[in-house]
Formats: sequence, C-alpha cells, structure tokens
Amino acid sequence: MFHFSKTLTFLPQFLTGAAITLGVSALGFLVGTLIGFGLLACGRSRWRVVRWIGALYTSFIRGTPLIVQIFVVYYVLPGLVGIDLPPLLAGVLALSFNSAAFVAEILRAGLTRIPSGQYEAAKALGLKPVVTWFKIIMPQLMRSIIPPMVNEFTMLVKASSILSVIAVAELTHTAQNIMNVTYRPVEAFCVAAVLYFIVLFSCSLLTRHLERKAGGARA
Amino acid sequence: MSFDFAVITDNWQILARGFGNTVLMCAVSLPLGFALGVVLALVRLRGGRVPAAIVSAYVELFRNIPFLIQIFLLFYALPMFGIRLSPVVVSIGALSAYASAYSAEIIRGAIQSISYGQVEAGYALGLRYLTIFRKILVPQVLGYILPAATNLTITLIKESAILSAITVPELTYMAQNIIGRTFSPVEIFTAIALLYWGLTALVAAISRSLEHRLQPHLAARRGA
Repeated sequence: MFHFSKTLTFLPQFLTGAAITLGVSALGFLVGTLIGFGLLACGRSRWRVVRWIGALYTSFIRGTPLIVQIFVVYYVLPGLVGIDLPPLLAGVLALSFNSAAFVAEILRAGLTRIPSGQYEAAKALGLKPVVTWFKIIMPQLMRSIIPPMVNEFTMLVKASSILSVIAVAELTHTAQNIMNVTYRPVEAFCVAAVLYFIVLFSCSLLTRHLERKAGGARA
Repeated sequence: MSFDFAVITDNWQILARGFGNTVLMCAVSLPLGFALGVVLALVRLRGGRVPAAIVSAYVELFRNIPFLIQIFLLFYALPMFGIRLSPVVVSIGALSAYASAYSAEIIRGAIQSISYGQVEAGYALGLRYLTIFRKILVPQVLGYILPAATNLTITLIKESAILSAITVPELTYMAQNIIGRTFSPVEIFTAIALLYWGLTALVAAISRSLEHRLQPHLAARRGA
C-alpha cells in the first residue's frame, strides 16, 4: 500500500526544505526577539498610550490565528505600504511579528522574577541605570528566560509549516511539491512528519533538560 | 486606499456561516478531546509500562508534528483505506486528537501536582473519601486545569483556521472564497481577524469569571 522508494529519491529536496524551515524560523525568532524587547519597553513606558498600544498588539497577535496574520502581512500590508513583498520576506516578517508578542511576555515574566532589591542595591552602589540594566539585570534575566525561549523557538518551527500557504519553499511546501510529482501524498507528508518530529522532539527534550537544570539550580 | 465596508456587509452571511462552523467544530472537539485526554492521562499514570509507553508516544507524536501535516496526512490517508468522510468530520477528528494529546499532559500535570499526603491528612481528620474528593482534590485540580484548558481552547480555535488548507468551510476558508470573488483582502481579512480576536477574548473572559466563581478565596488573595 505504501511505496516510499519514489518519494525517498527526493530526500535531498526534503532536507533543503527542512533547512529553509530552520532558517526562516531562526530569522523570525531573531527579529521577533528584537521587536519583543521593543514591546517590553512599550509595556514599561511612562506614557499610557504607548503601554496601551503595546498591550493591544500583544493581545491581537495572541488572539488571532497565525494563518490570518500571514495573509495580512502578505496580502494586506503591501496594499497599505505600497511595496510588494516576496513570499519569503513576508513569511519571515509574519513569524517575527508573531513571536515578538510571545517573546515580550516571556521577558516580562522573567523580569517580575528579579526582586526589586537588586535595583535598589545597584542604586545604593551608585551604578548608572545603563550599567544596572546590562551588568546586573540582563545576566539574571538571560538565565531565567533560556528554557521558555527555546520553547518559543520550537513553537515557531512548528508554526512555520503554515508558511506553505503563501508558497515559501519550506518543508511542508516541499512535501506538497514532491507529492505533485510522485502522486504519493501520504508518503511525502510522512517523510516531512519524520523530519519535523526529529527537529521538534529534540528541541522539546532540550527545553525539558534546561527547565530541570534551572529548577535544580534554584532549589 | 479606501476601506469598503460594503464588501463585509454584502457577504456577512457567508462569514457568519464560516464563524458558526469554526465555533461548532471547536465546541464539539474540545469535550471529545478532553474526555480522551482524561483516559490517556490515567493510562499513562496507572496503566502499566507498555500502555503508558504507547500513550506517551501518541502524545509526543501529536505535540511534535505540525497540525498542518497532521491534517494533510489524515486528509490523504483516509481515502487510501477506503474511508470517505466529509471534511467537517475529518476536521473534528483531527482537532479532537490534537486536543486529546495536549489535555492528557494537562491532566497528568494536575494529578501529579497534588501530593497523596493531602488524602491521608483528610482521612486523619476523619473525612470520608467523597468529601476529600469533592472538597480537597477537585478544587485544586480545577485550579490547575482551568487556565491550561483555556489556553488549549484558544489554541484550538486558532489552529482550526489551518483547516482552510483542506477546504473545510470554516471562517478562514470562507474569507478566502469571498476574496477570490471580490478581490478585497484588506476588508475581509480585517473582518475575520476581528472575529477571531473577539472569540478568543470571549473565551478568556468566561474563563476568568469561572475562575473567580470556583475559587473565590484565591481570587481575593490575588487581589483580582
């Protein structure tokens, strides 16, 4: 019933697709983290309007499906801004906008875990706010956010399969293309599923390991 | 560029039908998936080594393969075995299986979060098991499950949009249909984004009020 021989001759294409999946996810994660820090700054802003915009953005991203966000970036944004986005760029942008909201929440939660005594002690020692932020707060924040950030990257890899709807040549879209050549859809998606599982399961194991390590260090 | 509200008002019935299907599919698959999740969690905790290993393989497979790939596999594999079902039924099956894997983990975590010492303490105080179950175990398990179940519900609503890829007549698919006829992505995508946003916000609000009603003592302590 299953005939994998024909599908497996396309293994190099599958691996290229997997590499593109990892590439767009990593890029989206990187840009998303940068925007996430911006959102964090919005949330701690002095002006209520800025805080409000940040909260609205986060709520919108977390409350709407990624597929709709991808369509908005790919079909709506060019009309509003007046530039045509190639699928790859639109895809990376959509992933970035999406992960930014989740990264901002991770950062916010991480900051609440740092006791206010740390800021006060730094102030008492006469450290400038910039020094306090980069030498005292950031190192502690980084340590506590690593497990949830790895988890967020895992979610992003999983979500990136939806980019196939705007024809980004990642793993899912590669599987669809190969299915159109071999007429063997189940085999093509099985190969894609195995590749996704290898990547995602190792990421989840890493998250679990990091969480256990962090939990042990604090106890 | 101008925002043409007429496109939305002209097609509101199609959008409403899609929205109804989205709500219906999620409303059916959530209890189904949750019930299956309870069984899976119990098998994993009490079912012996081999059944537990099978359940944990099931859970990890559904959690570590993108939902889009899962529905493509289901959509193309079922006809190979001579099973022909309507897209809506396939979708409910896929959403339920997905929800069951996640809720199994939620329930397992909830059960493991309660130490057996509490049951023993209840017995030591002379309480009957039913009282212990109702007054000590259930409130704590619910307090653990409710926020996680809310997140799962919202995730499920959002994942259901992906079903548009296999031509299920839910909200996103209906939107794509309208756009195919009217070439007005801005208005229609804005409309469905707001519909999804409203739906998930409603779920979150219901969950918050439930949480207050279930655990007034905790709500008071949190100052909420």
